[in-house]
Amino acid sequence: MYDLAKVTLENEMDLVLAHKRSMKLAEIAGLSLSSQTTFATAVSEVARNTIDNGKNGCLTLGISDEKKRSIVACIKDDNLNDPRNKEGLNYAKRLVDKLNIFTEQDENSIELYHYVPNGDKISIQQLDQWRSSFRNEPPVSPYDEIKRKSEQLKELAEKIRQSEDHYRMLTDNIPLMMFSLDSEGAITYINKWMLDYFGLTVSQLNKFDRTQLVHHEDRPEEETFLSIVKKEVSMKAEWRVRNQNGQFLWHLVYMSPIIKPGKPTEWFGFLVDIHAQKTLEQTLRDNRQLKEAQQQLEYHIRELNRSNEELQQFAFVASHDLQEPLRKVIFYSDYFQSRLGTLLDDKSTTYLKGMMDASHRMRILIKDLLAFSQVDKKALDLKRVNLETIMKEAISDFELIIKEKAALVTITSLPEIEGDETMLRRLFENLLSNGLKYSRDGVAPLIAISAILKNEFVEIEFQDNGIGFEEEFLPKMFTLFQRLHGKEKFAGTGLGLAICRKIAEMHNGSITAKSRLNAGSSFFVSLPLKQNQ
Amino acid sequence: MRSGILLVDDDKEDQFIFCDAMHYVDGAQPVHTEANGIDALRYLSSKDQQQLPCVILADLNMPKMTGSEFLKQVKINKEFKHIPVIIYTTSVNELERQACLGIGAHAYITKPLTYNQSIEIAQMIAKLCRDLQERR
Repeated sequence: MYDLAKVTLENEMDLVLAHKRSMKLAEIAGLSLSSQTTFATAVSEVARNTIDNGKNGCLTLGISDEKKRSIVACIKDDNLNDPRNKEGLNYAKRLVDKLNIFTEQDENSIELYHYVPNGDKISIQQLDQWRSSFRNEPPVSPYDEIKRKSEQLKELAEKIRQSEDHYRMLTDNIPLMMFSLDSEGAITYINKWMLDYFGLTVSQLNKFDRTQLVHHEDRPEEETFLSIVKKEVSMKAEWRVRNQNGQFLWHLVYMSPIIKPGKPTEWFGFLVDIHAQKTLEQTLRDNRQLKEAQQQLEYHIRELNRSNEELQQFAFVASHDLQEPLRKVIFYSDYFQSRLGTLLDDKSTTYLKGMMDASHRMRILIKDLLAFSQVDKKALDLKRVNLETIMKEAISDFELIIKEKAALVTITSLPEIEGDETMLRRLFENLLSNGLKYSRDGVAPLIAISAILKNEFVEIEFQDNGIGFEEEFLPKMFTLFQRLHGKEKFAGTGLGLAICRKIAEMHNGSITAKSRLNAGSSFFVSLPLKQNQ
Repeated sequence: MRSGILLVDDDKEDQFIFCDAMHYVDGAQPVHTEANGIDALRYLSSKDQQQLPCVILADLNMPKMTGSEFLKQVKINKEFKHIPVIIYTTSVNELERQACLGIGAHAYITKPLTYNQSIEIAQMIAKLCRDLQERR
């Protein structure tokens, strides 16, 4: 059906309008006055029925689409009653060429047809003209006028509502938080996303101190919301914003003023969740820093290794190359002493002896340095070794001195451990040497060697009855070149205990000592039974 | 009948010291010196069986060929592998000593620190020579 006019059917006044419009339709369609009346009457009957018994009734007038053109009056209403039983309907039926009744779930629809002669000659343009003439027809009564205006308003309101709905649907479905502010910074609109994020409505948000929603580290200093708004300049920032669960998540915050001359500035803004990107950024940065630190470490390790190797080489070569000329000096001074000794005066003899002693000290120092540099972890030859055997071998190396000093060395049973035989023997020799060297005048040295097992370690004690030392020097004693006595009294390079400590530590053990001046000393060497490498 | 001592050492002073000490020893033996292993091998190759030295004294730190290399070469040579080689060096390094004895050194001794020591060493070498000659 080609619609030309519409009349809502709510009350008696509408009936008048329905009648009038139906008349007009029949008139412009070219029907005679009597046909017009007949048609209009039929329409009125049905319309009255609808007004009385139906709900939300509506009359639509138009032209049918069929080849045999008719004017059509279609009366719809929400289905409350079955209209078929009404008298008016039967009467109307007789007045028109055709009457159709459709009943659907929520709608009744009654169609009245009146054929139009030469209907096939009606063109589309004519129909358009007719439609506009209906539209532009002046109101027939004040009621008509009011009704028309009211319908226009309803239409407009509907359009606005649809537009708003459309807008809301868009803003609610874009995964952004959107908001608008007025010129004072008060929130005027938030979209669904924002509502869901904060769990607060517009009015709640406005009552709230909004700066609390931004992470304290990200809050702009000395700026309030109001001061930002007053600046009337777009703002962009990355802030951590608190959601209704108390979590602070990274968001890109963007706000832009809508400046209209003569009107107060409004603001439009959005927040985008960039938490994942920020976290990734941080992870990548951390990763990069880690990688850099790792590279630095690797570089330093390489440098240290290289430096270490160079040092080892240096120590070895130096001691070798230093020994040779030194040997010559010693040999030649000895020759002078034995061959020309009688020709020299006292001072010359003393100086010559001084020269020889100095050379000898240097020789021992070089040997000790070489020994120290050779105590290297890499060179540890780990095997199952019998400490008792090694100790006895070390003691036998000192046989001559032991005899000379009438010393007594006793040992208790010692266990087997995992270690480097050569190194351990040197360790024991150094301690034995000290024990024999630092004896009291006129007192024969007594060295008691014993061992106890402590957890996974064996603790060996070297107890002597020598001159002892003051325990305040304990930390210094085990460092390089530290000597507690002048070189006149006791020969020695001061490397012995440093070497002992290095060997002990190479075995993942330790060494310490106890003593009282003139009452002897005890040296404790702690060594693990097993090496875990 | 073999005689004489071959001293392989690049240090001229040590050569002198040894030769000098040998002078003062009973049953002194003639000493021939070479400055490095290559020259020493060439010398040995140039001698007939009867002219070969009865003892070789070799230093370790030498240019062109190290003492242990020289020792190895002597021990694989059919002509002179039976000649005892004594390693004669400045430093005592237990590892090195074991290695040299392993290759076939007859002995490993340190160079003397005193005049008396140099005489003792010369005496010991001369006696060794005499013992070897007597055995033949």
